[in-house]
Amino acid sequence: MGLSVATDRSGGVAVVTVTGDLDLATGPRLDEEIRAAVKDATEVVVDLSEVRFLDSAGIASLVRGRKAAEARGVAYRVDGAAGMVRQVLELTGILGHLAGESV
Amino acid sequence: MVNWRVAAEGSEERLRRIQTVTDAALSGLQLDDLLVELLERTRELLAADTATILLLDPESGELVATAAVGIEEEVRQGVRIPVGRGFAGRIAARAEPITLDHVGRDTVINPILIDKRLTSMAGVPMLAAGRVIGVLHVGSVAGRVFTDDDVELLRLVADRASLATQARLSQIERATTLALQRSLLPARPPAVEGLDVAARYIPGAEVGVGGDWYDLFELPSGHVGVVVGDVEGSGLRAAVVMGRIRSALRAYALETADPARVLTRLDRKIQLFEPNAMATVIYAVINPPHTRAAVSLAGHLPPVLIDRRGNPRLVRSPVDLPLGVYPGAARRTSRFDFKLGTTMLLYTDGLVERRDRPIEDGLEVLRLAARRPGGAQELCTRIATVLLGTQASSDDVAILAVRRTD
Repeated sequence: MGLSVATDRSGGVAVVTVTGDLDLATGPRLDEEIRAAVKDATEVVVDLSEVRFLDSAGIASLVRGRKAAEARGVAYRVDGAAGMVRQVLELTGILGHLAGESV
Repeated sequence: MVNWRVAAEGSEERLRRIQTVTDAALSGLQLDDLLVELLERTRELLAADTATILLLDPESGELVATAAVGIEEEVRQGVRIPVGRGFAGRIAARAEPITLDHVGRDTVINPILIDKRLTSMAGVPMLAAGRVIGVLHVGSVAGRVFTDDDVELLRLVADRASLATQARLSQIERATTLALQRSLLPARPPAVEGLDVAARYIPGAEVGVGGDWYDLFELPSGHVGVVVGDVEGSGLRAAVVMGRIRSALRAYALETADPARVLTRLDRKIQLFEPNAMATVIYAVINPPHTRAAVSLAGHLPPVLIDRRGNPRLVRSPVDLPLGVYPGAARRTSRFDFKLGTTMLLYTDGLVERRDRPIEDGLEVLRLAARRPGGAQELCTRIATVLLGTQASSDDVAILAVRRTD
């Protein structure tokens, strides 16, 4: 299964909703969307509630998103991770970091 | 009447041109010979004096002269043209053909073109999957106008050259990645007295050879370093970064026996020198009498410990951020007993991660597969059979088993 990404903007907040499998093949699509979103937002929220599968390449994409946001001083938060996706983020110790908690 | 004849000659001429550059016999040639032969034929068909192929080096963003006729010094001197500058650079930047009826310092940056006294030039981008991979151009000493038909012929040649180049490059990349991986991952890790060690590396069904690695080394202090890591990405790029990270970890391992400190230093090095890399690593250090182990996890999955009776358990040590994620991330070391007959099993996520199954379920399958006393080799074989036997992993997989025998 592939991936679809859509951005919903309102009042400076860009919510990037990700649907499908986030992996090596689809990560670049999300990179592109986040790079576009951080350009004209004060906060970017990546919503993973519709993601079915996430691997290390997908995590790397979420991390690149956070770096892109930080470079522009934009707040960044990954939200909605549940089930299998949440397990992967917890096991790799990165859930708190992506959820916007301080390290 | 006259017009008809010209038209007929025109289409015959077109056909002859197409046949000349699509000749099936060309397929038998090695890439370098094929490119030169294509350039020879192109030069002849267009009555041009020079023909050159420059290929894009994606690392530097420069076009590198790769094959040339009538202007062989371009290749000998390794001419490099930045994308966006000069004649070839502008073609690459625009991804469109350009023709020139005046060659001078204002239109080209390569002095060889001026030295050759070229007057007119025509060039086209070489494309693969919509991306520019190089530029093909021809030049003429006599002033002339390169026609639309000439440009069309150049496009045809560029397509042929692109296909051949891409096929060859991916072949080279695969072979190089495999050779690099083999040189970095010895099939048989070094023997350490008192330890029974076995390892496996299995390329992924989708990613092929990637950035997974295992490593085991004995330090002068008698400590034994045990590593499994996974550089995100695939192919040659991931394997090259893996090689550097693996070496750097060894270097920091010489400085301190504390795994968290080693990974902290490694992380700092990656943040600075590999800003686009991300890696998960588990680094364990076994003390000189081999009775205790210290471990630090950078975003990596938990190791399995199998006691001498064959009872397996996942060691749920605290997990810190993967390497390359955040500067100055805090890292912790946890310690556990490494009793006689115990086996430590380290692995990468490709072993347990499947699209149709939560990763915690995969960990449980792994734990159950590890339930049995026995040697390190046997354990690796069993684990690979149970977890990869029926359904190949799309990701590459590294497995390292270390059993205390003394």
